[in-house]
Amino acid sequence: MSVGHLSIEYSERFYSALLSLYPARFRVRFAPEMLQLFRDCAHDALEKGEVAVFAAFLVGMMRDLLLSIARERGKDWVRPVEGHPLIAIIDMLLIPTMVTMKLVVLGPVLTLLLRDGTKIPTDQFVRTSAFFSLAIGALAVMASIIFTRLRPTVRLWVKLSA
Amino acid sequence: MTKQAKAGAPEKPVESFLPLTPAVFHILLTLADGEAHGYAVMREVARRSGGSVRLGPGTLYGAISRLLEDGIVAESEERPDPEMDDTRRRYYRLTQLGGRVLTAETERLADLVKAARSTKVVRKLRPA
Repeated sequence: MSVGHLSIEYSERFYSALLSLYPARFRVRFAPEMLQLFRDCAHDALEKGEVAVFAAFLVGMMRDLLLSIARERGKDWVRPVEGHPLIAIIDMLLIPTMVTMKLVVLGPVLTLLLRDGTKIPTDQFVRTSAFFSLAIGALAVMASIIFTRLRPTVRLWVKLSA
Repeated sequence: MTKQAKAGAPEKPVESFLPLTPAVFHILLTLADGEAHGYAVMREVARRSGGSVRLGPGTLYGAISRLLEDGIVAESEERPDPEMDDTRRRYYRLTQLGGRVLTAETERLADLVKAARSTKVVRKLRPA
């Protein structure tokens, strides 16, 4: 398998995982079509044969995806709450909670690092901060994906226990 | 699941959908020529706008989702010949309401251009 096809395969998997961040109503209806469209466009970009073109394509796709996720999530917040109130509340609070958790964890860590600032070289401090920030950000995204995947099960559980 | 416009529900006045965003206007223009799937819409919009409007999957399907809800576009029930196209793709078409919205937006834009051309500044800048 060529490097190009491997790049498409891995970028497709990543894109597919990020599609999980859409609200369920949108994901169920449009995710397969969006993935197909991503695949078509990735082949088009790869046909041009330049790494820079493919990289620019990926950056553009990620930007489009993240903005669109924010828009669709935003729509859900202003849309009248449907279904079970518990699910609606979890849905609404999920991303703000993840961001708050990130800040709550990152704040004390940075404070501790700053307190010992005289002992730690600057580059190490920056590296450590960046590592924590990225790691916690990645955890927040993973948690959102896992929750979105589990949501049908939670919905069923709520229905059965009601 | 995305809600489709309910049959028999009172139709909103065409003016309530205006103004359209450039992306939505281009999508409707593309569908005015006939039904198309997402990839075809994306390519046609890029071609028609000379590359100035480029739709990613998120923007395109976000817009289609809203247009379906408003009853401006509908999913085509006719499937293409499997030998000629991928049957996994969904095709979209302009509804009657969509046609009226597109016409109203075109007229609105034409009025705007007319108003702009009547100003001294634009008249001066216009090539002879």
